[in-house]
Parts: sequence; C-alpha cells; structure tokens
Amino acid sequence: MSDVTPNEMMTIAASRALTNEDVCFVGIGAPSAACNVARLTHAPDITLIYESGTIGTAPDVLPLSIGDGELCDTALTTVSVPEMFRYWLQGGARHHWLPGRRPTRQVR
Amino acid sequence: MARFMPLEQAVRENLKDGDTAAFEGFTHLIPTAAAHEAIRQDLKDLTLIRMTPDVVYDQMIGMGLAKKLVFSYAGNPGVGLLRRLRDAVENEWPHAIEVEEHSHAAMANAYEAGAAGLPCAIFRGYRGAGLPEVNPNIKAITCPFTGEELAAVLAVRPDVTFIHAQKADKKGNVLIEGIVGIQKEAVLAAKRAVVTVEEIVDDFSDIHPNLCVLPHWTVTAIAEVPGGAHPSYTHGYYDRDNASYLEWEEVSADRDRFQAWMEENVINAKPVDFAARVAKLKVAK
Repeated sequence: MSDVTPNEMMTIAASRALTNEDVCFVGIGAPSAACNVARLTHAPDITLIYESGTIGTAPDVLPLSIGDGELCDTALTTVSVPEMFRYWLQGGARHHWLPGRRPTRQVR
Repeated sequence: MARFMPLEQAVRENLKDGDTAAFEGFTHLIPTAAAHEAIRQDLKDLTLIRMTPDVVYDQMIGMGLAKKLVFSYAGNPGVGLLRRLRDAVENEWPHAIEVEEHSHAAMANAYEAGAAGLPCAIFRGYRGAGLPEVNPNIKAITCPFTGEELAAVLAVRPDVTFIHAQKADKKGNVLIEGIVGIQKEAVLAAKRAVVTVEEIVDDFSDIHPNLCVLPHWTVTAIAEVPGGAHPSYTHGYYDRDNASYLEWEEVSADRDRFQAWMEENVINAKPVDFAARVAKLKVAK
C-alpha cells in the first residue's frame, strides 16, 4: 500500500477534472493545490482567480493565503476586492455570459 | 475566448440586424473603425447604446442603422449639436428613431449593474430633473434601511460591445491605458465583445500590475486596426483630431454634403485607411 493520503488523492482527482478552458475562482488549501497541479501539468492555460483580486495567476509556490504577493506578482492583472466580487464573481456567476466567459468553476 | 480576425469578419460574425449594440469610448478610444465597418455592412434596426453618442453615432444614425438610441449627452463635445441625430428625431430622416435619454450617472451605473449581472442599478440621481417625466425606464425605489427614495434604471446588457484599445497580447488579453472610461463594464455586460487594437504584442509581462486588462476569455474577437479610433485618439499613440470634429459641424449640417462625405470616407474606405489618418497626429513614444 502506498503512503498517498486521501487528501492527496482527492487533490489529484480534482486537478484531472480541470481543463485549459476553465476559469477557476480558487480557494486556499487542497483546491488551490489541485488548480495549480492542473496548471503545471495538463492545463497550462487554465485561468486562476483568487478573491484578493488577482486574475490569471501562475504562482511558483503555493500561496499560504488568498492575498500572497506571489499571486499578484504572477497575475495577468489585479483588481480591487469590490470589483472582484461585483463583476468577476457575481457578474460571471449570475448572468448569461457565453460559455468560457464566466468563472466555470469555484474550487473551494 | 478571443479570436484574431480582420475587422470585416469580426463585425459580420458579431453584429446582426436588430441587435442591441454599444460602441464605447469616453471621448478617448472611440471605436470609429468598427462603427464604419458596421455602416459598410448596411446593418438595420440596431438599438445603439452610448455615453456621449458623438460623431460616430451621428454617422450611424444618418446612414439609417439605428432603430433606437439609448444615451446620455448627445452632442459633438465642445462643438455643438449632432445634426444627423436631430434630423432623425425632428424630421424622421432617413427614418424615425426612438430615443431614450439618461444622465451620465445613470448610464455609468447601468453599465456597472450589467457587468455585475444585476437586473437594475440603484443610485442617488435625477432629483429635480425632468427626464423621468419623458423616460418611463427611470423609476424610483425606496431604501429598505433608511427609507430614502433612490433612482433605479435597467442594467445595460448589450448583445455586443465594440471598443478600441492600445494593445492585445498574443493570447488575446487586451490592455487599456489613459482615460479608461466605461469600456471594461461595457465588455463584461455584453454577450459578445469585439476589440480593435493599435497593435498586437508578444505579452504583457512588463506592465503595471493594476492596469486595466480584459482577460482573453472576456473577449470574442480582436482586430488589429492602427489609428482605429480616429478622429478620437489613443493615449500614447496619437492625439485627438480636433479639426475633424470642427469639420463635422459643417459636413453634418447638410444632407447632401453628409452623404457625399460618407460615400468618400466610409463606404469607399477600408479599415487600413485609418493608419494614414493619424500619421500627422502621432505622439513621441
């Protein structure tokens, strides 16, 4: 029997469900790990968004918090927190954007 | 997901007869080349939305594209009236047009509500104004906490938004600098978004982290059209052609002169012609 933990198996299983086309609103912990495993393996163009306002991040190390500087350093752009919740999460989640134009997943 | 294509194709694929369309740019970055392409494609029955519908909407209305105009402040900024719009409203030339007038505050709030996926915008405005008497889409709502009466307007949700920007990178992310206006909201509120850009660059690795960037997955189509905002301007590229705005006052005053001008400068022109129009207006980089 391997020494892989259930949490690690869950993380890898979650990462395999993600694709290049996904736009993910990412929570810290196993979800963040799963999203970044996907990005570093089979889905290099996946879009990761953290609630601190960082859009299109590609951290070299897993962030401890949703507001680590690493997320801003590697982001396509960084917006304010009200804009993040108002346009990018609420707007995307609640109205009829075309597929691919809204956060397709909330990984929490 | 943004796709790169010629402007003719981007307009053909994304703007249809009867659509609700916003061509946005707040004095700066007006998407003139896209509007001219829409005129060449002879589209009909459009509901056109815009804060400050200036010369480009005067041209579209005069050429018969618009069924309805939803707007705030109709004028040629600093110059005067929009004579083609006025001719449509007063004399039904080239045909009758429906108008829905708002304040800038209402339109800005309505775009923001559209971007946020909300059905309406609530704000403190229209107090003592006459517009609610002639615009049934301006309503009142009472704050459930304070009892204050506030104005409410429908969210703006265009079928398609057209904007002009400085740059796209090769992935299709779009960068807007300078007076950023309402373009981000107009794009996020719309079902489809078409962007013309001054240039396409490899990447945005050297830009400030908080600049206005539209991620590629918010944009439908991108067309490279240098000078595409003329006679508006593109910060960092070329200045506003104020002489053209002054000239429009004369051109638009007469139906025959207007039609001759449109024939020469729009119908018989191409997107590539915009580059020459800004050649003498370029700013030092």
